[in-house]
Formats: sequence, structure tokens, C-alpha cells
Amino acid sequence: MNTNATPTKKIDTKTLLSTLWIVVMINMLKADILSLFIPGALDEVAKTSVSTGTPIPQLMLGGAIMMEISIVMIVLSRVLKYKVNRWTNIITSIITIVFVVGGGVSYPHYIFIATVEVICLLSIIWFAWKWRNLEGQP
Amino acid sequence: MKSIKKIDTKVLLSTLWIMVMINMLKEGILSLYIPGSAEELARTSASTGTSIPQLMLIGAIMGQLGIAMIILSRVLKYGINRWVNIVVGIVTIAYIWGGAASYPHYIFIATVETLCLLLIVWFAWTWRNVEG
Repeated sequence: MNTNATPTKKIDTKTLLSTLWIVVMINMLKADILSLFIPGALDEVAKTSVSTGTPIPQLMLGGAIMMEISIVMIVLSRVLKYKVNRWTNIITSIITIVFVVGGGVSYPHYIFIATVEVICLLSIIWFAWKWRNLEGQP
Repeated sequence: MKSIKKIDTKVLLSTLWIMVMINMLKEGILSLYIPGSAEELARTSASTGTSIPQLMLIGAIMGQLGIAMIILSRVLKYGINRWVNIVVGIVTIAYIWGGAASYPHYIFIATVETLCLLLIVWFAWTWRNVEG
């Protein structure tokens, strides 16, 4: 037996959740950027603006606020205390899934990226749900 | 005393920088969706006498400061780590407001970024090297 082997330390749940949120966020950014390369994507936004009666800058503010919920989870997953950490992760994941699926467009890249995002978000819910506070951390 | 594991300051700083950078990317992308944002950029180019590719180079260099901090916060030694975080934190705040656009999403995201950067400066400032 190789006793010099580095002991395999299980990943800290806080680190895992924070990292999964980073994956979700980078996916969201990539989806937005790819959409910009598709001719007509801007007209799509203009149509949404007309049908909802909201000027485009306000729509972008709405997008920024929704996105901020997920961005802040990168830090909050690492710093919040066990109990509130679990619940915040579960609730914000559900909100984000609704946002990703509800704001869905039919571009193939969006469907692909949204699927990956939903899998990550379901993993977040799963890990937060079955997270047991073995070390009695605050 | 209960063994309360506090988050390592290096990890905290690095994570806050990730948050700042993702905010910056999101802000840039949302601006692109607003009609007229390209003309805005052309006006800045004309008024400063700097061509658009040069402006993009400045943006890339400024962005790189924040991006590098994600790694540097984790690897630099205590003394220099603190100072680099404080200096780059302040420079980035100046850059965000110096290049501010009046779009509502920009103001919102810039405010969040500034809060994160002030936290970075604060945590770096109050960081004491208890473990030597």
C-alpha cells in the first residue's frame, strides 16, 4: 500500500455549491454572447419590448437584477451559515430554473446551454438538500 | 472553544473577485442588447480621439487586473496580497465609475460591483496574519 499517497479529502459542500454557481453563471454569459451573433436576436428583444410595453433599457435592468440573484450565490454559498445556506441555495435555484426555462428562446444553443444549467441547478438543490452538518459548523 | 472553521481570507477575496468579474461581463453583454450602444461607443472614440480597437485594448487591460486577482488573491504571500487587493480594488472602482454609462442596468451592476470591491478592500485591510 502506498502510504505516501495524498489522502483523498471529500470536497466541502460550501465549495462545491459555490463552484456549481460559477458554472451556471459562465453558461448564462456564454448563452447571451452566442445569441448576439445570431442575426435577428436584437429584433427579438425589440419585439419583447413592444409586447410587454417595457423600454429595452428597463428590460436589461430586469435581466441584471435576475442575474444578480445567481451571481451573489457564488459568494453566499461560501459565507452563509449552514442552515440559511441550505435554504437560500434551494430557493434561488428554483427561481433560477424558472427564469432560465421561462425566458427560454428556441435557438438550439440556448436549449443546449439551458439544459446544462438546469442539470447544475438540480445538482445544487440535491447537494443542499442532503447536506448534513457533520462537523457542527455554524 | 468550539472549532468554528472560518473561511480563509484568500478564498474569500478570490471568490469576491469572481463575483466582480461575472458582473462586469454581464454588464457588457446587456449593453450590447441596447440599440444605440455601438453609436455611444463611436462617440466616446471620437471625443477621446482614440480608435475603437484601442478603447477595447484599454478595456481588456483594465479587465485583466480584476481577472488576475482571482488567481493572485489565492497565491500571493500575505503582505503583498493585502496591498495588491487594496490597490487593484480602488483602481477598479475608479474605472467602473470613470467609464460609467447612464443605462439603468449599468448603474445597478456598478453599485453591486462597488459594494463587492469595498468589501475586498475592507477584508484585505482588516486581514491579520494569525497563522504566520
